[in-house]
Amino acid sequence: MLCASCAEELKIDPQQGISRVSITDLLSGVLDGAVEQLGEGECSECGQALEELRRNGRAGCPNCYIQFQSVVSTHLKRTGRADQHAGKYPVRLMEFRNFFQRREQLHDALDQAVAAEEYESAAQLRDQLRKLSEEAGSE
Amino acid sequence: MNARSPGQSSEGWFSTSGPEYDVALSSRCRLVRNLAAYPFPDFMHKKQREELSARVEAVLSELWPQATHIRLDELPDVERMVLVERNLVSLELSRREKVELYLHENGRLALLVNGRDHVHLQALAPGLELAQSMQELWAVEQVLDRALPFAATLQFGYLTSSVEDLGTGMSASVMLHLPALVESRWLTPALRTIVDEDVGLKAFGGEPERSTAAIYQLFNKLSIGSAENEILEKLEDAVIQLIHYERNAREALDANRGEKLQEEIAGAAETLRTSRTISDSEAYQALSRLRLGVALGNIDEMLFEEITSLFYRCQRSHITVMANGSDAGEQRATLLRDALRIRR
Repeated sequence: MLCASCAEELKIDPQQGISRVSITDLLSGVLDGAVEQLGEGECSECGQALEELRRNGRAGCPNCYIQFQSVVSTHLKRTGRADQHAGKYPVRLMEFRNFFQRREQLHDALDQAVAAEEYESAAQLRDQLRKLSEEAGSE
Repeated sequence: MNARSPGQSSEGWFSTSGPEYDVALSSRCRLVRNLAAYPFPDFMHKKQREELSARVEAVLSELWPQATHIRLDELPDVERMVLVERNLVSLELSRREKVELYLHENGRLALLVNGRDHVHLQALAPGLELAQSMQELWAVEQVLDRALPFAATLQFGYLTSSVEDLGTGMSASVMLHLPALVESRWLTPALRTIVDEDVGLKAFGGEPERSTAAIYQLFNKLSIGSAENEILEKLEDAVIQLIHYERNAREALDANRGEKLQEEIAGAAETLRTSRTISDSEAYQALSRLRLGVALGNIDEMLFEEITSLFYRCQRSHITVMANGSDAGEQRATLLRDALRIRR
């Protein structure tokens, strides 16, 4: 753990703990609260019936895949398919994902450096994190 | 944009040769994409459809300035069917309303708007040619994606109207001519080692299980769970194996039944040279024999691609367009007689 004066010097807030979101959570829409657990039988954007998706695999709009994520997942697995894409993504999504992955990497490295009391490394990593946020923010 | 009707030309992408052409007739690659900003076509309002259509046109008028741009439902039925017969449009899409087609001037690349999905990209090539076709499609897709962001999530990849196309949105298939495997009844055993959860097989012409012309199609069954190049490699491996089996079967057939086979092939050639009228399935059967004859070296006055071209041009709608009112069977026979006469 960090002693108060070292923390002060490096300007790392020991109370804060690094709060972050795993990229999978963020980008799979789970963060929106329990959207799926609304238990409604229709997509809130296009009105496609959940049954149509569940039985015939027909979706009405992109939101169907977010709102009924677990239904789609089950349908895929039930028909002998993987439920996780392993190929290319659109450029923007790829950049988005890379940003979050990089941020997670830096956070992990920072945690480790702090735990190992390597405060100079920690400071450098914190600077890199800040720069990453700035770059993302400027887009 | 070019407004000439694509159903009018007699030649097409199938008139040239390609890799492994003695067995592989053609390859088709397809990518399906939807824009993030709209529901899928079945749930779109008219205004959304028009917006989408205009946005795609803005991109394509620069990317494919020479392409033919038409509304499929504004084409006469028979010309629409010609596109289906050339594998440029699927039968299902040809029956939908409000589908737009952009056909590249090379006749091999097509983009359909407002089919079952917003954008449906397709590339055809003679012979076995998957990787290059896919590269061509991705090049177009990238330009589109920058202008019209596509819908995708990290988990499901590219979002599609049907869960079947989810993930890569990619579908690839290769058409193969397998007369020797069929003749020696080795097709079923050969397929047992090839068809699995990743690769499927369909027969063309005739009943679902049997093809009159010994033409079969191998295709990828899955579009989610593997990277694109893995999916293509698996399909290509299966195709190459089947090609290998067919070539072996041809050698064996030639060795064991050489004379009888030669008679059959000569008989088929004679039928094509002399018939006054011929149905499409009779034509396919005879052409299939002829193509085998070319492969075995019995027939040296025709090239593979000439026979493939005849296969395509003997299809119903192709003949109807050509016949221009006169009898289809007679027109087909004339086409074939002329084609073989030149080669005497």
